[in-house]
Amino acid sequence: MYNHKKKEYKESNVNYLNKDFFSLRDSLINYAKTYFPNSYKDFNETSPGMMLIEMSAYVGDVLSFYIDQQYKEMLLPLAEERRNIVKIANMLGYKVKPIVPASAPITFTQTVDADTSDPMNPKPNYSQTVTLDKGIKLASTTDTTLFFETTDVVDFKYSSSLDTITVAQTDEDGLASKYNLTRNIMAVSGETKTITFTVSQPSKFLKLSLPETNVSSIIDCVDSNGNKWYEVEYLAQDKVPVSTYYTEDTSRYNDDVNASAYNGYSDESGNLVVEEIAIPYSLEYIKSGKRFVTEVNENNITSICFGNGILKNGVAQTSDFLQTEQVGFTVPGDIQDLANYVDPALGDVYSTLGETPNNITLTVRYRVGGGLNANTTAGTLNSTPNSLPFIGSPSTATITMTNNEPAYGGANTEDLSEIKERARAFFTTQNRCVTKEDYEARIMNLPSQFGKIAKVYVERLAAGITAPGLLQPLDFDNSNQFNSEDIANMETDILTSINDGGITPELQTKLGALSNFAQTIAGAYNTSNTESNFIPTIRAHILVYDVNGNLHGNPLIGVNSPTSTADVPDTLFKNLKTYLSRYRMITDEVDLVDGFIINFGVLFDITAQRFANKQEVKIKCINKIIDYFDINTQQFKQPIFVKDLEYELGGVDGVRNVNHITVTQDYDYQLYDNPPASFEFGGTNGLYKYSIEPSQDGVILNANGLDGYGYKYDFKEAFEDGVIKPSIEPAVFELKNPFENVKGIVR
Amino acid sequence: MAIIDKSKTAFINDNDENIFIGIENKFIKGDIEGWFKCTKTTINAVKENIRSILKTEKGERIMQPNLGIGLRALLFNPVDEGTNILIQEEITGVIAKYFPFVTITDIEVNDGGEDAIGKALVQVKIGFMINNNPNLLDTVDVEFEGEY
Repeated sequence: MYNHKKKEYKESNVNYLNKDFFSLRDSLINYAKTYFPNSYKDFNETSPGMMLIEMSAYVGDVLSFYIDQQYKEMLLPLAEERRNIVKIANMLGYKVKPIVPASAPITFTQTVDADTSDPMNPKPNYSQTVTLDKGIKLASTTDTTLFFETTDVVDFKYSSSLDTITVAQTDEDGLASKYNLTRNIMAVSGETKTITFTVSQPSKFLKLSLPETNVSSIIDCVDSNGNKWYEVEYLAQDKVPVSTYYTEDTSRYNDDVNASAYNGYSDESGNLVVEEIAIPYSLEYIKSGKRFVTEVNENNITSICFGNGILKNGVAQTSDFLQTEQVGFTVPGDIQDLANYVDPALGDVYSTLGETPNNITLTVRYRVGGGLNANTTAGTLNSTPNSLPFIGSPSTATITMTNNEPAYGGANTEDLSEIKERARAFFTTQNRCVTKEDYEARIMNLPSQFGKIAKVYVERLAAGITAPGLLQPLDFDNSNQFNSEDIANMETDILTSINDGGITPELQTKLGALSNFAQTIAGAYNTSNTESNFIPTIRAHILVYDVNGNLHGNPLIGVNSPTSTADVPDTLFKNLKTYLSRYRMITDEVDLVDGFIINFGVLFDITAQRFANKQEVKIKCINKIIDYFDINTQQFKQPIFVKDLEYELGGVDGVRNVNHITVTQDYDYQLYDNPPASFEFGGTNGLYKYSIEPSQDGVILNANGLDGYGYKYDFKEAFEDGVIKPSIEPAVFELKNPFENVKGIVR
Repeated sequence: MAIIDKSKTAFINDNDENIFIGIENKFIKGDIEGWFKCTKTTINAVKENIRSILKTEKGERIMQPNLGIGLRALLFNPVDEGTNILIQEEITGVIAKYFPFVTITDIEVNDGGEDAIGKALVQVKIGFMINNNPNLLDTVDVEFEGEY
């Protein structure tokens, strides 16, 4: 290897890191001293030569500044110009909002007569209820320039756990004669405006700018042919989410069930089964070339931008696969006859960015308004509009409205720091579900119109045991694994049968299990089977709230009886599956199942302080326990810390000592070793309806318990060191009917 | 700040015809030195520099806002002894700051006489010497002019 002698090379004294004026000047002086010692010697600041050197340094300084500036403006954390920050945010997928509208929950109230068909059990007469379309314009009573518009349908025809029913009037017998039904609907600040654009000759990536600067959203865009153009996040997005209200959803008419927010089925006997949870909207993705994106520039001008696909005049889009730009044309190198020769690349190249309008008039409705001023106070949105947009026949029903809470969230144009932070957050989330936490967050994010999820637990299923239900029948040696031992086991049976000259019952059973397995796989690979759950990699356990705010869901009933009303509504699962299809990884197969509910009661024994009112202390303790087990705070696989509860009760006024607390479904196992004849809870049964009992075939589901409760759980076994351990199967502990199921003694 | 000549043998380069010190104030092509005509002696270079700074207004020079002299501001002052003293003080201050190796021997300030009719004209003549070589005396003539 050749060794360079150090002295053979003279190090340059040009320093490439000097980038400001003074460094460059010093560098040039050194350079002149080194390389031109006899040509120039006067480095006094006043000399003309120094003036020339300083001018050169100045040019270098300016160039360095612009290089630094340009590099800095390319990086989101360092950029300072709004124009650049907006562009970088767009590049990361975040769209800057020109203005943020305020939103306020509006409480609509309709008064209806009582349905007295059952005189002892009057209820609201739902036949008098009405449905109001979205977009009801509400004027503020304090600011004449401020308007709000509802974003959802106000439907009094169904109720959910969030809605309240109160008695408005009673008759002379004290029975309810009128009811007030309330619905809470979100409204956003702003006013709808309409503009039309006439497009003659088509042009690629047509951009149409709206005249206002404070556009909060595009409501819709319809062309003169009646076609709807959909807003998408990016032009390459060819699937557009479309939500359909049940009144317009023809699929809700299946099985002779009238249109209703409650989905219905016919069971095996042909009887109508209606789900208990209302799901007003159905979600589906449609494929459409008619789409656009919105852009906001640094001056807060909103533009709508279309794709590059240009349809030839008179050519209609009849297929999902569309070679928009080339229909009717011969492109050099491409084949014209698409009916016979289809180049799969053409669709990707030319049509996935969507169409551009061609010789039509576009009508765009958009909402303008928002900002800090829109955060109006409570009770200011209570003026009823002159006319209400009834769905169905108009009604003279009395409907009042108000905002019981102040409007919130309204903000002016995002400042630079906000854009940077939100763009960063948007990029980090990527809108993709990868980890189980991603799935949980995404599932909880399902818009409530498609079904309100109460609890969710997601597990990623390990390879090899991905479908225990599928592989379990083949686990002949009960090793909890399907492996070579099971195959050898069956081979032995086959050889025995051949030698004996007849098939043994054991082999018959095993062959049956194998046949079932093969049929399941065949079904999974059948492309027409859209409901296939073959080898899921993600399993989400889900529970919803019923109208009373209690948890609702039953995994085992749902399996055996798909039309049961005891499980999570199928419409919700369908919506959720559609919703997740856009976010899940292509390799993930999501299985949606109900979660288990375990109900329980609480027994407590405390000693009160000497002069305390024992009755009052008892009520306080019961309320403390109810608050502690608030269902909103309970999650799947969450243990119950009894010691923690003791600490909470110890803090109640008047409590001197907490003797013991027992969380149980039936009896106080801390006092009795063996179950007494009658339990503290649930009589002789306990607070459960379903129990999974061992049987000859493995396990059997027993459903003979107390109606309205969940699954049996051995609290005595699960109690250890002051903690009730959660079950292996994902379940939520629920304190149901708390005023019945919290009992205590105050000594 | 000014660069002080600390060489033990002062102005030795002045003896060599092929060594150039600075650039002349008027940018004209030199005979042998290249694109700019250069000064060959230190005294000439200092002379050019004094002329240069007296012609420079403060703020003119890029990145050197304090380099220069504020004589133009005095052009429209009354022609009297007070103005003359102000001009002399300005010049003395600037030369002390940027030419610490130079001693001013004399400053003459004239109103221009007949040449100044119809315009504001100040003629300044500065006599100076370089401290290292007190025998080397020279003068610089500078005119400041402004239209009425």
